[in-house]
Amino acid sequence: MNKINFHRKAAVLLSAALVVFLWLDAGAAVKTEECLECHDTFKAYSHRGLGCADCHSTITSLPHPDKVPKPACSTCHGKTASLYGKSIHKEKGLDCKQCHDVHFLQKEKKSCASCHTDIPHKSLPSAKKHLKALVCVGCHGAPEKTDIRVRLDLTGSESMALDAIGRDQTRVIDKAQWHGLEDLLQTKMKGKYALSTVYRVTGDPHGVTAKRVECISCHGERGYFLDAKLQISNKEKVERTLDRRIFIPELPSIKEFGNTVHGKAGVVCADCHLSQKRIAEGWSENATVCIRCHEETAEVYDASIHSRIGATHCVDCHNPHRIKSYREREAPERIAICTRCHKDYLRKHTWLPNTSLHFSYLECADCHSPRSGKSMVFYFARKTPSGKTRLSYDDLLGLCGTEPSGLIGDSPDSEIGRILSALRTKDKNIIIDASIIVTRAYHDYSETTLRERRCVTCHSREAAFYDSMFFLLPCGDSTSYVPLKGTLLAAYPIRTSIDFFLLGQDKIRREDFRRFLSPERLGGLGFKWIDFFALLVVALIAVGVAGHVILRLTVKR
Amino acid sequence: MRHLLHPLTLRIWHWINTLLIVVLLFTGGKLRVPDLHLLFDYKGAVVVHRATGYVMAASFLFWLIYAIVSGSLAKYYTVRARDLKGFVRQAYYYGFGVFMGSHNPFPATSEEKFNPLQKSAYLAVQLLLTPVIVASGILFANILRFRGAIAFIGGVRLLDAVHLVVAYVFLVYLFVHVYMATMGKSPLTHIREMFTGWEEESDEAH
Repeated sequence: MNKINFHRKAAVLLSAALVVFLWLDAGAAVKTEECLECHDTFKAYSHRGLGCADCHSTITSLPHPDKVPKPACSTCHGKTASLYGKSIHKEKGLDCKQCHDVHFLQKEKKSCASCHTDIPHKSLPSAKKHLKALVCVGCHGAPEKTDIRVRLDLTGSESMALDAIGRDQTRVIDKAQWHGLEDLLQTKMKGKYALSTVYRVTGDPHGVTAKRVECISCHGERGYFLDAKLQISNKEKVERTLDRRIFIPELPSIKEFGNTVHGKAGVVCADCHLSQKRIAEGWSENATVCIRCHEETAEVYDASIHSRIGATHCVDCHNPHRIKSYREREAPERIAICTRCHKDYLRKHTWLPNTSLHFSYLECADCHSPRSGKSMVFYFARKTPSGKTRLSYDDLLGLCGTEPSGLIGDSPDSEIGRILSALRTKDKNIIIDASIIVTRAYHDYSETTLRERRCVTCHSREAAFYDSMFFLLPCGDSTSYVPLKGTLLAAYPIRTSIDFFLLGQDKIRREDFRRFLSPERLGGLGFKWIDFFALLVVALIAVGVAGHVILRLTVKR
Repeated sequence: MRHLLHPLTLRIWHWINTLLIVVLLFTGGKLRVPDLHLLFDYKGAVVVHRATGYVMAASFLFWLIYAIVSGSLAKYYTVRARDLKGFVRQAYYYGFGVFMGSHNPFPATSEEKFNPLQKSAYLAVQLLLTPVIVASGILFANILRFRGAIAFIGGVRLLDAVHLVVAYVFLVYLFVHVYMATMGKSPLTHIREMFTGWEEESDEAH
């Protein structure tokens, strides 16, 4: 039964095909030879074996009208046409004929460079290297398939090479093995090998867009050129898989870059990386790159001693890929930047009483950059046996159950105490901690010898940072600086606020003596009264002793 | 008969303590009044003051143990009821009697080394002022470790005030003590005694 059905179906299909063929043949009344009788300049035409009427299908009889509609390439090249429709070339008003001579396909082959001559690719890092290795469509189109093929042709024995990369065929050749092989080739097999690396890209050039691919498309974990193979040819061919990172270094920071200050501000790789040369290699180059955005900072820093004899480049202190706004950094993190070089900072500060205590609340720039703006910042912290840790966004979210940024309203000074009490009902180890940090950076760190080691510079109510106080509230991955008026401190018991104000050891200065001698300026002496009272007592005793001595001498005792 | 007033151990302790107090007063002076031009700079003052302070603490501890073990604390320093009356007599002697040729009402003996004024002064210095200044100094040197204790006392500033007041009392005491040391038969009698240990022929003590 099935066989009979099949024969029936086949007969029907064949009859239908015959009808269509006959109909088409009847329509194609004009033959190519007839066309070429008049259009003899196209005698050598070639378009993959097609006849004139295949494209100029509206001409069904001769003579044809003067004006006939132009054939649409999309009739046959539908997929290409649709891709081209989205391309930059289409957008610019170009059509197929601008690149393709449709009647003489073999005659002229246009490439990108036919029009785009001498494009400097200024914004492309390591432009030469990239341009040599890649075809235009690799970056400017949508590559369909990409891979790396390394070919090693050996004239001698390949056994040495195989030893270098290991004989386990299932193992991926890593960087170390590859460098071992390179070294072997250059030292022991010189002249006996040919090595070539090809970055193969297949893609339709019709889809070229204005937007180029980002660096991360190749230099990230995913994207293009994931497949890398080494083909060793000698007597027989050996193929091994390579770690692609040997050829395309994965940018170390690319994963985090989006979360950095630069990443958030929309800075892309090519904005800074004008060449693959490390930006740090020369101050001028370094400055030219960073100065584009940080002109003022560079100007200040350039004039400082620190820049001339110390950290000469911006990147000596700042990793532009990992950069975190200084407002997000805690004091110890800030100190860590300086101590990468100034490792002996504790030894150099032995003159400072309670050295390590000071360094747990301060950052270097508090003293060494006198023109920076400093603030006293407060934050919620948790006391632990090993010290204190600042509460993170997640900590606060967990404790409050609500968004931390919404905790403080219009009058933070009065609200913070209430919030602290509420938090302490959940965890009695929650405290408010403080540190003094730079909130307006001035990049001159030339102040190396603070000759005036006056404790009262900080340990007094007059200290500048009391005029600028903030409460730090973590908000997602950033920190909100909530300005305080200072009444927060007033709300605390006197002994706490004394500690907050760092009012430790007063010092007697020359102006205090002057103040003591002019009664109208006596206010504000504070505990310094002790000194003047004591000096008075000493003076009285001196007078008493002198009197006693005189009397003793007088009565010859 | 000559009495041994000051045993060797005490004499050595006394002069070491003198040196410590002088160094502490000088360095402390620099710390309090940084503009003072003394032998050392501020940095040196901090380091020396802190180190000397610890030696002072050890010195005090030594004296305390010695005074208790040797029994001198009970013997010489205990203020008795009759001392209160003697207090006035001794003060009167220093204020007036001394000019009028009176005799010292409490001549030093190996049994009763100190007069009532000395007793109360030394008792205050050794059992009140020194412990307070040593303890506050140790707190200062370890603010982080003793943060809780400092907060309990009333904060760093109050601690500083206490340390300072005691320091000034020491200064005043040093003046008076040295001057009183000149009140022997000759101005240097008592000072010599403090070196030799033996009582010289005298009828007074400082």
